[in-house]
Amino acid sequence: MEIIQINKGDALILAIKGRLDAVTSAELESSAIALIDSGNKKLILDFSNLDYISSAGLRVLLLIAKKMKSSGGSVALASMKEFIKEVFEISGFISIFQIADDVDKAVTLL
Amino acid sequence: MAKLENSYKLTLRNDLKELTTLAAKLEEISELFELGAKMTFQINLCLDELITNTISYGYNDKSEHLINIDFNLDGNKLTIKLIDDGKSFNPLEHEIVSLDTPLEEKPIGGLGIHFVREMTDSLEYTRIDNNNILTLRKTIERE
Repeated sequence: MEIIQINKGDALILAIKGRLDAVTSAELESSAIALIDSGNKKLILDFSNLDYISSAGLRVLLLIAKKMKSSGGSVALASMKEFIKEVFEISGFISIFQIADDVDKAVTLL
Repeated sequence: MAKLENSYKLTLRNDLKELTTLAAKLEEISELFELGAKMTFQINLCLDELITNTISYGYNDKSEHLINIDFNLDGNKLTIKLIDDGKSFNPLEHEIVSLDTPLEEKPIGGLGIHFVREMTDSLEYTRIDNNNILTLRKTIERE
């Protein structure tokens, strides 16, 4: 897994490339938590190059969302592939995240 | 590792890094069995969740253990047998997760088994000779 950081106005975009599973999700957790701790209030996770997610990956997304909520910020997810979206649907996570078709639309949600 | 026309045997160690091996081997199996991207993703997710559980909570010692996965394809019916020598654990007795709880109260865990239930036709658990044997059956929908 690879994480690329991009700043877009006052929003921070994290583009995740590869797979989010029990091994790789810890890396996303520590990067995202550090970025929230340093004061970022608008976070977009760009999933256009995310190929795979398991419940361990969802668990980390939930932690990030909770952490962001308690620090008064918000999170949106962008550009999910079809199979990834299915995981969100089956888990019910589709209704607890703000999800947009692309990063530009995600920016308007925050 | 024996490779026959419609069957495939895979052995993994009890190390989470083996999830990467699983993903790579599933690409091979996917080609061999012509499973397609969607089915491969779902099978990867089911096996990932079950194996992650076994590796994380299944053993009382720190020794190396092997997890065997047998794949068999008969027409469009795929049968996967997952065999481990961890402590007795029947995932079918696992509590069904409620998806309607609000974000703040959402419990972590239990989701993995939920995915397995949703993405397979049937699941069967047996405990034989100190082994957990979980049989997953799935109809392969070809694109």
